Amino acid sequence: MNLMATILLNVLIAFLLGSILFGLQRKIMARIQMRPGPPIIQHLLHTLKFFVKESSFPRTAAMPFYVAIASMLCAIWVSAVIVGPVAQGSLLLFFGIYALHKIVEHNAGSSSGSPYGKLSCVRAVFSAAAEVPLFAVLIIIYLQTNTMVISDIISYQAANGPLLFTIPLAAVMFFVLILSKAPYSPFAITKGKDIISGYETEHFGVLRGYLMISESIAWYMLLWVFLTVFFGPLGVMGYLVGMLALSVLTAFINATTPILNPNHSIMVQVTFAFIGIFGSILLMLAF
Amino acid sequence: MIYNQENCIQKENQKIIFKSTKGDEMEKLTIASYLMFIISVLGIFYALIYNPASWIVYGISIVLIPLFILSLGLITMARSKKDEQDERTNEPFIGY
Amino acid sequence: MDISTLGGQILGQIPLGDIVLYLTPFNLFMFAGALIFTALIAMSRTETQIEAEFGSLKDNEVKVGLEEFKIRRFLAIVCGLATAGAMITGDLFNFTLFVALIGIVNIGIVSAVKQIDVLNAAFQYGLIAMIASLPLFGGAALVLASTGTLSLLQLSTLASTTPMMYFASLLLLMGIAGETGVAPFYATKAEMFRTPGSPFILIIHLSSLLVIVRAIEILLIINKPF
Repeated sequence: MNLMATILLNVLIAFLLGSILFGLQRKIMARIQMRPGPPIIQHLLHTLKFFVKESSFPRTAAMPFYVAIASMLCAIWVSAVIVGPVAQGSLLLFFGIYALHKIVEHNAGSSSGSPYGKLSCVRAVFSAAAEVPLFAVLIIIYLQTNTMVISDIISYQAANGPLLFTIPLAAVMFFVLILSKAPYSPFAITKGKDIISGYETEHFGVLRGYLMISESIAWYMLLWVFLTVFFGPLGVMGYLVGMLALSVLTAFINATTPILNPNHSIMVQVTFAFIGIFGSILLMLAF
Repeated sequence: MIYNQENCIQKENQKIIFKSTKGDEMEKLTIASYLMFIISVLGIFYALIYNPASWIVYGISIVLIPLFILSLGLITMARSKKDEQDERTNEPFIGY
Repeated sequence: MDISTLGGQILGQIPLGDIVLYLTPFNLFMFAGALIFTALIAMSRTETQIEAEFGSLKDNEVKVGLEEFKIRRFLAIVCGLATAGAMITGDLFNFTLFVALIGIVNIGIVSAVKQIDVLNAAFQYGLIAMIASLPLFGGAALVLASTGTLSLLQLSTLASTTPMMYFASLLLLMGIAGETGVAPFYATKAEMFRTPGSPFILIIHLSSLLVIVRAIEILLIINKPF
């Protein structure tokens, strides 16, 4: 199968599976709250619905920046699919993409002119401070395996066993990172309901569907990277089971925790980072 | 930075100006979206059939796949009725 | 360590005298990203922020005036080009120069605004950035003094890391943290973003994040703990 077909297939799988996992999370959260909840394909149906609704672009928006930012989100997560499952390139690139995602959250909010978007924009800057665990995870993985290239990390784990058992605190920190990207999570300050929908408030119709596609791909890619880097070479079944387990776990956590206020959200994530960094250094020195 | 407090009163005058341009804007948007759609489909098929060097394929996929989805969305989106069109520009926060 | 274990295989080098720019997929992606965003900033107009007016049901529209728009756009493009340069440079001093330029231009982008709390935040951020330029350049100088080279390609081939190099990387880290506004300096920088002019404040945030990710690569090149 040639390269373009591989890329297209992976993007399609990422979109579909990401949407189904989001729908599953909503279902689980609903059942914990003792109500039936929407069907599992609801997120997918919403995405398709938004594509046929009437869209309006706010008069006050910064054009063409406003539409270009939504396109950038899709472009960066398509390149994440290329870096991950297709080419298995450098992990640093993947985290550069994660940083660009923060940028898009920031500017999707401020480019529309709405006060809710502006609030979400400033909160996105705050939440970028919680990337300290991200850098710590990168450095710890590098110190353990001498490489950042995903294919080499996979072969390292095939020889030495999963990284989950050798650097467990890095896995915990990465999981906190994944949690912050889940819907209704305690760290989801940029999309909290106190600011309507945060940076998505003024994205109607086409742009909202577009953002939802990119977020589904993003969720799939975050889970894929976690499973690949911490569990090693897995088959298709392994990935499916792993992604299901992670989505169910995040759904349970999201259903039982409130959304923290922005300062508390940052401080909790930074505290996890410090515990993770110093714990990992101690573990490395001890063993 | 201009604190424009008369803007809301000026809006009545602006309504007359906006009325005539909104229709052209929607037409321009339709033409542009069809153009983007054709370009992205052609690019993706070129990469699928001719199988060029991998960096070309990466470039095509990063640029053209999002463009394809965006153009598809702009083509399939519903358009508003002609007499309601200027409401969409001038009263964006009231959609009833 | 070896650069190819960090960013992927080295795709090429651009020798400009003794300042060598090198390209790996990682650097190329960040370079292209910075340039694309700079191009977007160059051709966008600014948004109009809507605020509520006290005492009536009218909206208050906060716009960017023409003079302010021109100067802020110029500074934003300079910042974008500096970020792009910092992404592919293979020379440590060049990198620190670009970071210092980014710090200065960040203050410039918001200093044309006439909102007092934003100007206060910019002033405080400017103080931290100026203080941080000492460890930033000091770290680069210490690397030169202890290894005899500033070229990242040569630093990656060195056998081991001396304690002075560890100290230098620590200073570099402090300098970058202050200039780009990582925790705990992000608090004032966030207040700078409450002003209109969305394309221009994009580049403030983008430059910080991209510089931080590149700084990790550079620190891992310099330090070889094993």
